[in-house]
Amino acid sequence: MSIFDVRHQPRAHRMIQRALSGNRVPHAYVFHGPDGVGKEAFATAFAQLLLCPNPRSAETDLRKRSELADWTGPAMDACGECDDCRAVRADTHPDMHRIYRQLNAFHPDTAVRNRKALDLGVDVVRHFVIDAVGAKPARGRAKVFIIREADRITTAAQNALLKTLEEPPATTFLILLVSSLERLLPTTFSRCQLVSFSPLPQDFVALQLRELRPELEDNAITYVAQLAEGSLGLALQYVDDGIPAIRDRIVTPLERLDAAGGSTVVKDWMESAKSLGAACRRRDPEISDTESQRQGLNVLLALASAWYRDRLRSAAGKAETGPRATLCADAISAINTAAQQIELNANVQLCLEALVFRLAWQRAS
Amino acid sequence: MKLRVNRHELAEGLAAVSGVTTSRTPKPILQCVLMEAQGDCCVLKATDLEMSVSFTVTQVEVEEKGDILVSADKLSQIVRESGDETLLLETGEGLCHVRGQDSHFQIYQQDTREFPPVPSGGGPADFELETGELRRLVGWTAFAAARETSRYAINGVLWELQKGHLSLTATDGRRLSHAEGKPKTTTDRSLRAIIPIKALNLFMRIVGEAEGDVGISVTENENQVVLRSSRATVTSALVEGQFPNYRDVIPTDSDKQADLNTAEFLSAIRRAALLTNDESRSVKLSFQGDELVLTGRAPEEGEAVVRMLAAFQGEPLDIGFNPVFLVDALKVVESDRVTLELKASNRPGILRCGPNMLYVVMPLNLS
Repeated sequence: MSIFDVRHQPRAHRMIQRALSGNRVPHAYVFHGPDGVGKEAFATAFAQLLLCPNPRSAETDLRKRSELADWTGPAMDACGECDDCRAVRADTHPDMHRIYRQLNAFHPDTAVRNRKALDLGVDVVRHFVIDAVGAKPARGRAKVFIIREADRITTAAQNALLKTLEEPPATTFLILLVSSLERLLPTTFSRCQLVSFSPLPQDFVALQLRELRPELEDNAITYVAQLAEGSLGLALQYVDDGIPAIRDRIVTPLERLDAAGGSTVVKDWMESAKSLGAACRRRDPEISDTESQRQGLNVLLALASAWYRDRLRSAAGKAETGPRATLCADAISAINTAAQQIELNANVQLCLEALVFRLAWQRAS
Repeated sequence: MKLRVNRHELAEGLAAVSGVTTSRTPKPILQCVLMEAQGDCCVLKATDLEMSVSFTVTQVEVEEKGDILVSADKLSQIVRESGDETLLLETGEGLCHVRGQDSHFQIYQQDTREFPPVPSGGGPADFELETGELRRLVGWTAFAAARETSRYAINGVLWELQKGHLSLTATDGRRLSHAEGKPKTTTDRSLRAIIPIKALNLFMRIVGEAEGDVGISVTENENQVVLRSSRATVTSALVEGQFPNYRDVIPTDSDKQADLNTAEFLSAIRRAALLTNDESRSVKLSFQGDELVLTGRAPEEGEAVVRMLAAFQGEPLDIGFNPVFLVDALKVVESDRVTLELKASNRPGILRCGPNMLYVVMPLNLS
């Protein structure tokens, strides 16, 4: 893969190319931004570029395509043909280390192996990062560590990593991928170069969806692309969880919501949340029951919120804005409140009941 | 590929390479062993990406050249459980067939092209050593190296070769051991490389005493070390970093010296250490005249006093040491007598065993 296949991240491209052209590549990077916008793809391509023995200057059309058109400096790319490039593509390069929380299953210590991989613990970081940094590269050019979900590195592990982040051996590069920067210690990210990634344009997500999931119908593509808010990863996840099909079951009751039918809606939603949670669970078997339920509910509330947002948009276009538009806005803020409460560990059943009755009451008044 | 192999030979080879085929790795191909049948031998190769081993199995009749890549664990089990004198190994349609007299195993093969390249370590060695000498040098140093610390450079043994003179040094910051040796043959190259303990231990395990000389070389880019005996080759990534300037640490102004019987000293320290604990870890060594008194004291447990003869020269001195550090070194001493050189109770001591081996150990505070 060429590094320029990662699209719509001009800032990241520019920072990397500037570092390369000045021959001053920092030893530690934090790539931050929403999930599913190309952070890992970009990190992998960057690793390939660092490991490739004969990188070449990128062709003009490639540069143009990735919004680097006004970049005047040289733009480098991996050759894509050498043994190192092939090994990176096959994910077997001995100098590219991908670190993720489930690696604990391969730790030499039984106690660590038997633990649930809820976060990136200090044992995993010590064994797979800190110890591995101490060895010289196997093929001679560099060693690259890509740490997935680095915002789930425990505080102890971040502290253990500080020394390595500050002054790794000359040929070592660490790339931390995070979705929320706040969860990193200030001591961690102050030692790294920050590169921010932004959400992708909606039509790009739709285009990619059409290519990657050709069986999907047009209106489903548009709907999912809109719902994913610029994250291709999330969009694909929604498609694979069958969101387009589930959608009607969740939002149709909203159209004729009343206090009498409220409890049925709550029951329905709880069921849907459970099945959505089960889908999250399949993707990541390590997460707890509560966490999977919470993730399912988040998707469900996002669907409901999107439905009201659509209504708000169409209401705003009409002359008689007034009550209907405010109703939608109130509903959205009610949903947000519920999502926040659930995030703060409130009772899910009570939260949903309160939300549904509030929505019903708003409709009636 | 098709070959007939002596079962014991194959078992030995598989045991040698099993040191790097870990059962736990995110990349399943690293659990495999690659067998290359060539000419009149068969080479077994395995790697964990940091370290690779290749081992030549003789007593093989190669009927058809070729490669097999199969799970090292399964093949070892089959070879171990079979009772036959020889086994026939053959490839066909993605399977590896292992035939004994009354048995036939089929194991699924992996694609040999996906196996990471195992460095061959060809070319002449930078220097050669007798196996016994290597064992002596590594034995005297490897135990003192640090384990799992973020100061990478001391997680291995520093090898220095200069003008035909070889020295090995290891430290963990509290003690340092240093040994000097003479290679049998050497090139003009000056070397300074930190070799990981894991690679040294693995190589020492594989190499038998009877194997004669071993060759050691460092690759041109100074990233890899190749340790080679007549049958086995171990290559490993070197350790990163700058080894501390250890020569400044070795005291040169010691004015007191004790000549001690190794076995008696070891036993005395072990006994005195019985009454120490985590809070008071030190054993006090009191030298006076021809007597050494070792005292261990554990609060709320008791006190141990052990006396032994020591040929001591100098002013009487009390000094405290961590018994573990002394025991570690005394365990690998081969000579009957050792000397302990001291200066003061707050200065490091040097344990010497012959002219070529020394061990510096920091004292503990006695108060």
